[in-house]
Amino acid sequence: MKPPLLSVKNLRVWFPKDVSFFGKPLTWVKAVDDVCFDLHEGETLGLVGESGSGKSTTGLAILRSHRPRDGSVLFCPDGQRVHDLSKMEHRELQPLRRHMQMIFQDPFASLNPRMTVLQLVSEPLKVNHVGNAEQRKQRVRELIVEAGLKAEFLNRYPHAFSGGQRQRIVIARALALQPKLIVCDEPVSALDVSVQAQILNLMMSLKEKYGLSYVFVAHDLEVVRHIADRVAVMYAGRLVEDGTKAQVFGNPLHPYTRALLASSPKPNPSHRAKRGILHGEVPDPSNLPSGCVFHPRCPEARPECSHIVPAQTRIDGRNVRCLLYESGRTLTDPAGADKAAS
Amino acid sequence: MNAAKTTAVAPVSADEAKLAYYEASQWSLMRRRFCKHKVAVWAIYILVALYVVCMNCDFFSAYDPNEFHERWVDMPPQILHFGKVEGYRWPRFYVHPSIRVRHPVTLDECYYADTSRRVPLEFFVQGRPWRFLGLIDTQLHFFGVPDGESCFLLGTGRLGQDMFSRLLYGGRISLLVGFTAVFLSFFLGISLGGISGFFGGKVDIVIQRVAEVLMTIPHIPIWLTMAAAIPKGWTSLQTYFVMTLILACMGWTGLCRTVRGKLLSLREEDYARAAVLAGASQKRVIFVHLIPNFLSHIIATLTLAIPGMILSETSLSYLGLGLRPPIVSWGVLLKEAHNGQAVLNQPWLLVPALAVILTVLAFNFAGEGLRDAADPYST
Repeated sequence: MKPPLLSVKNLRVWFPKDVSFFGKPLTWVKAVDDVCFDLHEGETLGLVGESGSGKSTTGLAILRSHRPRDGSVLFCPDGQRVHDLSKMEHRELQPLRRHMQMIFQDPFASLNPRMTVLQLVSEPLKVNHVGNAEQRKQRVRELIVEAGLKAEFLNRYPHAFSGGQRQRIVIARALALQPKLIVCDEPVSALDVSVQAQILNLMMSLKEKYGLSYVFVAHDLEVVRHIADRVAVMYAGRLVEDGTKAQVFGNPLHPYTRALLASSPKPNPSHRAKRGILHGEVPDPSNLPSGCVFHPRCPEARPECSHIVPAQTRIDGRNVRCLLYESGRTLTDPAGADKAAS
Repeated sequence: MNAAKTTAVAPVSADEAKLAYYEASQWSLMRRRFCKHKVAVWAIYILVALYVVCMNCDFFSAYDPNEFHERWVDMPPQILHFGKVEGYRWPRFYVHPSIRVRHPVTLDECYYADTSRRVPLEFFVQGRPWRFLGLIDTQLHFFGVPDGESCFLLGTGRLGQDMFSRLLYGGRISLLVGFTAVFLSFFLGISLGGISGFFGGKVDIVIQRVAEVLMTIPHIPIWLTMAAAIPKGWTSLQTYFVMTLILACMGWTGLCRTVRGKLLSLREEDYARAAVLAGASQKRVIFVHLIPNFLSHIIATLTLAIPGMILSETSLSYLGLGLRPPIVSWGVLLKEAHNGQAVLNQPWLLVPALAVILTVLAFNFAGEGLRDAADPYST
């Protein structure tokens, strides 16, 4: 069987928070803890969660912008050789970089204000020694037309463009090396809703055309519903549930996923969901609750949840990390016990 | 943004103006933003004028700054007039000759302007020899008066030296000290700050702690010690270089922190990260993405650092720790004026203070304008 394009196994990204006098970390910020998922070629994985849940850090750690503390990121751009990105040195990563690119959240910060569109889009080609100057220019022209901009924009600077246009430049730049994998870190959350749809449709058509795979980080569930094939839900650095779009949106298993779906605004006021399910905030990643990280806010929490860390359980081709679904574990149901007593 | 569009240079049509704006680089945008800051533009003009005049003080001054005129001691300024002068067809600049008399009551020496005579100023006259750029011998001076007449536009000092010439010669030293000291500390600050910000870790900790320790030591005692260490026998030129070195040694800490902070923040910018993820080498990230983006900030910081250096030199020399006569600097000149009698009887000796204030203000306004213009996201 062909290995998946990207396979993330037990990924941990911890940042030292308090450092002793001799530089030894005393406490850690556990931004990403024990995250596993697979991404097959041509798929889009939507990574959703509240802010601070570690979804962007996961995206950056896949591309090795952060060095993971533990776990592995197996990347297989050609369908044969598998590379473990998490253990590689900077120099070894260099030849693999052309197969994986990134689209950033803020198109105002991700384009160097001192470079023209030509310089910006041709930079990946230039640093990877693709073609000569004239060929690169021709390629940039094709790329920006493909991204929905005009060829005469080549000599303009980023300050001349709107947010949506800048994001198109970023997309053209990400496409320049014809990568297999693009990590998109909330690519549309900085844009107007009307522009969001245009950019999403552009990304989807490019995916069809070039057989791209996206890891799509977002907090907007509607955006994920629009673009993703599979959805992974993160909470406080853990992956609580993942499955196909239909599974996660149609029949959410984890209490957090249910709460998250219920809290997203519905366009139709007559279908308004019951609100106010979740109380409190995402816990401080340097001081996580014991047991299941979600138990202090969980409407279905049991006494065991505060001391047993749930393992990833596989149900009908989807994964969920909750004691409710862990087989072989009998749970004391406080509600049921109450009923029995009365 | 609209305002910037309308200020485009000589637009043929609105579209072309827009296009010129879209294709304007950050440097030209910075220039446009700077030009909108009228005070800063004027400050730059003033600074250029000050530097041009003071760097060419041999040409612009009528007298040798250390020449004693025993006939004209402690003389008040001769006011510059403009009008008709006997024997000349066109109106021109002239001064009234000063005449020394004894006050009939106090018997003090005093001067009065002889308004019956007008001494015309002549321009581009031959005078004492000097060397242009240290290479070409010349005797040409910007202005002068016929032999036997006097022209002390800012009066004379206790020994009869021309204050105007001394102001220009003092300016040459004081303004240059600011520049050279800032460039030395810039060199120290940018290299240490760069190392500190880019490599981080232990190197960073050591450099930052050293900078902090230097910052906590009060400057005056340090200057005192260092200035006291300069041997008495040294020439004024040697003293001058040691002075700039002392100033630079104390002044690099602030710059070091600025550079470090800027590097740290720029290194985390998305576009620097994007370049790394595109496969760019570390060298390329530093030279293509980081340095051009912080250069403008550094220039602004430098401009704001120069007045501090000028003030330091002035206060050091004023305290008698820095430069000493016969070298003339604004601080040395102010030291000569630092008694109550001078303030009362010879207020023209305080003109160097005005020059210091003007320079410092001009540098501050120019620096502020540059700083505002350097921010690529302010429109």
